[in-house]
Amino acid sequence: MPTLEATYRELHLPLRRLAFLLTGSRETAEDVVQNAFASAQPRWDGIEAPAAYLRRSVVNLAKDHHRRELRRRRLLRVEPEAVTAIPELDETWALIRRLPSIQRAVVVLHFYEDLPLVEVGRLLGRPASTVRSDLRRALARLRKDLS
Amino acid sequence: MTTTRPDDRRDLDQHLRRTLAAVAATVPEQPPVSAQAATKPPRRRWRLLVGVGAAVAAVPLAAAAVVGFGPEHVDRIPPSDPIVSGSLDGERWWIVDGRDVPRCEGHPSGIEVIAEDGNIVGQEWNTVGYFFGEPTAGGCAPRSTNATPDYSYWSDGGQVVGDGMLWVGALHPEVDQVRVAIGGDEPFEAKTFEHEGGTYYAVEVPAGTATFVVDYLVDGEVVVPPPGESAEHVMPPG
Repeated sequence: MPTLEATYRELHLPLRRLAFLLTGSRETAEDVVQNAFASAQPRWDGIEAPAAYLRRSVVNLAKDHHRRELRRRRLLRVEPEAVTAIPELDETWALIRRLPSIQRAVVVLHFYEDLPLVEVGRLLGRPASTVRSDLRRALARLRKDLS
Repeated sequence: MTTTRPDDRRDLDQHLRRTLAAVAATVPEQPPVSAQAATKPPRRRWRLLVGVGAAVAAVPLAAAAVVGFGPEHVDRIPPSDPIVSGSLDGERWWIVDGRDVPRCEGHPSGIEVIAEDGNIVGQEWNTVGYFFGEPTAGGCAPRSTNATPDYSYWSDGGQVVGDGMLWVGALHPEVDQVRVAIGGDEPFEAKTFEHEGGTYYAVEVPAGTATFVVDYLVDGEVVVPPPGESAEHVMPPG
């Protein structure tokens, strides 16, 4: 069983990157990851798979963030911004951010985390068939917006 | 480095992978910190959410609103001296006097909405503030405003409470009636309350509601929403 300290050093950055893709906010991503570790700390010895636990925690916290902060999401500017310094990628990122939160989470978990849709469904608490439908709709929307 | 627009599914998949990897890579390494420090609750600030203007989600929101992630921790729930309180879908909420921010000394503090679920004793506040009028450059409530009655449509907003929504607004002084219709039900007049000389209201929109309408009236006449705003609001999916 790795220590909390070691796990933090190993996973803090990848989890922060995942949280950023899910929330679109670097500040919120930092908060989400800190909260994930904070919630894991008191039960650390009982967690069998820390990486999976923390990833699930980040996904849930990001989902909760979307649900509870409608105001902020509403006012979030989603126009292309210079994130990667590559205009085409920045434009695509802006379109991903504009997806409904579930579709966006499916896209991020499938294409960034490389998770099969069954696993994405487990993380999001949705049947695999629904996740497939989410992905299909997201891709259709992105394809249309990019064309 | 250049990239091209995707033409087919495989191209789109690769394009998305490349985009997400490139965006993720912009999140930098940070200097190592101890796990103990990392597991402290995040310290947050007041975040000004006014004047950014984009309108993308299902729920129209306030121009004159702030989300308060105050640096102070929740010391007691229920809060002391609530102006208005209620319970929606099993979750309690309170409206209190807006907190005094040093940089806004001399400005009205407005009101602040506290939902039970997001504010746990010992953790940090997570509240939403409301006031009427265009905020100052520093994000403070204005001492006076030339805003017209239709600005009331910019000074309302909702937050999820339970699986319902608490819809709150700050009113122009000439607005004398807030008419609310939830779903297909008969419209009713929302109760208002005064605070610091301003008039506010709060409406509980039950879980399961698809849409609701909030009209502002002056002398019996409905105020027309400004361009880009609507009196009808769509509840977000649960």
